[in-house]
This record gives sequence, C-alpha cells and structure tokens, in this order.
Amino acid sequence: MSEITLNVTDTDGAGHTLTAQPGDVLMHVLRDNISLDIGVCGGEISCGTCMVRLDPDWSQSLAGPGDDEAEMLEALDAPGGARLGCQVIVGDNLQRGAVALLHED
Amino acid sequence: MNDTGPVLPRGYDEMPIPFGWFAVALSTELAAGEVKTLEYFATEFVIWRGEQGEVHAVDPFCPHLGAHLGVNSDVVGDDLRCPFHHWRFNGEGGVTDIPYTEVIPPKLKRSCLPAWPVCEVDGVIFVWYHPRRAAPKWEVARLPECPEGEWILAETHDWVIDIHCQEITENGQDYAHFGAVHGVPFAPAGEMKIDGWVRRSTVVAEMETPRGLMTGKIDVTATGPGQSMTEFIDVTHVVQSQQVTPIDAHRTHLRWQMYHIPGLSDGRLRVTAARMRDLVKQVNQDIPIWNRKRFHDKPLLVKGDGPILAYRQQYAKYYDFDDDAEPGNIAARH
Repeated sequence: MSEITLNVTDTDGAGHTLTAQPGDVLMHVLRDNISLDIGVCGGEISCGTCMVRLDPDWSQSLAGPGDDEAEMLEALDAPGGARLGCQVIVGDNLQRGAVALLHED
Repeated sequence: MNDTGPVLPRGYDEMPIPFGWFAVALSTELAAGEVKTLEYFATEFVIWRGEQGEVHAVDPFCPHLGAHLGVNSDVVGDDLRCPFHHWRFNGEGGVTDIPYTEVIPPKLKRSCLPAWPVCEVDGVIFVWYHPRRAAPKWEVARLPECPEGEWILAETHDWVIDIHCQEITENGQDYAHFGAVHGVPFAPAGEMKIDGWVRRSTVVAEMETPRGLMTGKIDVTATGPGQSMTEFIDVTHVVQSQQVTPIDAHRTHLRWQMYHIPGLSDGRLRVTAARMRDLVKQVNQDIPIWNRKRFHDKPLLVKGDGPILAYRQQYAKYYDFDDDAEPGNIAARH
C-alpha cells in the first residue's frame, strides 16, 4: 500500500503537503503535522477542533456523518459538507486528497 | 458494636446488595444549595438540593477531568458546579455550562454523568439503587392516610448496625423471637401476604397499656426491601415509618420516623410516648443479636417460627438483576 499525499490548507490560509498511510485517522495526521490544538478531545466528537472540508471526490467516497458527528456539526454551525477529521479514516483507495481546516466558531 | 470484628464469616460476603428505593437522608439533612457525598450500596454518590428545592443524585466523579463532585463543588440554580473547571450539571447528568468553550457538545448536554433516580417523600430522600442501573420498578410508598388532619412527627431515630439489610426486615417474620427477645406476652397471631413488591402483615397482639392488656392491631406494609410502615391501632394510633439502607453487604443504616395522630389528650400522649419508647427499647434488644448473628441459608425451623422462608422467597426477587418479570404472590398464615 502506498502513501497518500494530502494538500492541507490551515485556518490561516497556509498550504501544507503531508503524507498519510491508509487507515490513518485524518485528525491524527493534522494534529501531528499542523497543530496540537487540533483534536483536543481525542476523537470523542466533543471539541470540534478538527472540523474540515474535503475535496468533493474524497467526500463522496465516504459514508456520511454518524448521528453524534452530525449533531456536533450542527451545534458548531458548520458549513454544508463539513466533517470532523476524527471521524474520517484515510482510505486505501485514495491517492491524494485536499483538506481545508475550518474554524470551529 | 464490637471493637474487634467477628472471627467467623457471617454469610454476608455471599449476599448481594438488593435493588430498590432506599432512604439516604432525611429532608432536613439537606438544605437548599447544600451538597453531600453519601456512602451506601458499597459505593458513593453525590446529592444536592437545588435552589428551587429539588434533590438530585449523581455519580461522584466529574466526567471531564475526574474531580470529586462532593468536594468544594457548589449549587448554582438547580445545577451542581464542579470545583475543578466550573462545568455545570443538571439532575439528569447533562452539562448546562462550560465557562470557557463556545459550543457544548449536544451529547454532553443530554447526559454524560450517570444520574440516580431520586424521590423525596414524607420528609425522607430516597434514591433508586440497581447494580445495573435498571429503571425503578415501583414507587416509594407514602404514609397511610391520617384519620383526621395530618400525622404529627414525634421522634426520629437512626442506627448503624453490623448486619445485612435482609436480616433486619426478616425479623418481623420471626415470630418466636418476640417472646424470647422482647418479652411480648403472647406470640403474635398474624397473617402475611405478598403482593408483587409489597409485603403486608397484619398482627393482632396483646399490648400492655396503663389499663392492662389490650388487643391491638399492627399492620405492616413493606414496599421493596428498603421501606416499611407499621401502623399500631389501639388506645393510640402510631405510625412507625422505617427504612433500611445497605451501607454495604455487612452494614445497614436503620432509620425510623415515628408519627401519631393529632388531637391526642395528655393521657393518650403519654401512652403514645410509652409505645414509642417501647419500640426503641425493643430494637435496642435486637441490635446486639443482629451485630453478631450469621445468615443461615438453610435455617433449622420448627412450627411456630413464622413465614421466614416465604419472606426469603419474595426477597430473592431483589437479587434478580437480569429479570424484568414481576414477582408472584404468596400468602402465608400463621
């Protein structure tokens, strides 16, 4: 299995090129490479700090948000199509992806 | 109480703590805005009374970073505020405020701190204990109807006794001990009926009064393992409201609230006070035996012992932590 290249735009608008392995939790990749302020709750769907928008191809290849994620996104007043990175697992069918980190407020 | 514990096992290690409603405080012991940590059922929990008067109970540790919610916490409105980061919880264990974050996650708002069912009835605060947190199966019983006006609370008593709670309430079915331990002149002639979660006994007994022996009626209604009411109807009319609460399988907190009817003459008040004194004397005769007895799973019983096994058969339902079935009915005559 090959590495996946992620093009990430952080909340300041700066670009980062990261690599991820299939099976990685997207939140962990963002936290370890961009900021330790991402993923404060550890994936419990209670902080919203890993909120992202994915490129359309990637987004459409994923199952939609579960109940807890959908409810949290609504409480966060998230824009349509936003996801929580802690609920996104980098798939082995992916070669590259684009991620925009979103402000949680 | 003994300075040293018993040498031999008393059978309580094998006995679970039954589920049910149990008294954990008198209403007067918890003022509005007050928080208390209580230790019963071999565990601990935190109760508080909101500023509007409602009582709540929750598990002791804050789900955030683990502070003990009974230590330096405070009541804000109807909520309990954790001392560590000022998270606020309602009586359902839901978060109502986190002062430093913008969005409270909806699932935390619903509930993230296990809450205990609470019921406050006739001046006593009850919680529902079930080791698997099953919902309450019956309601807390209220005082019987007072024939006129309102019951007058004359006395309250409480004791901590080294015994499993099942054994205290078994005592009422142990007819033969009344003569030996309490010197009751005649063995009580009684009838016990079990109806679901309620056990009723009616005993007609000779009671000593200033005018000599008199036939009185004693009605006992036990609702669940934690609560019973005994109504004495004779020259006076007294209700003894009793609660037993397991501290653990070896220790029980026994509470009494003693009521009488209003409008008693001085003479009948003296008889009433004497009756209450006699009941306290009787329990003080029981307690030394209770503190050191053991539980026999298969006791040696003879005619005249009373419906002890029928009582135990109903009581076994309170250890059936899986079963949702209602208990059956049993009637035993003595």
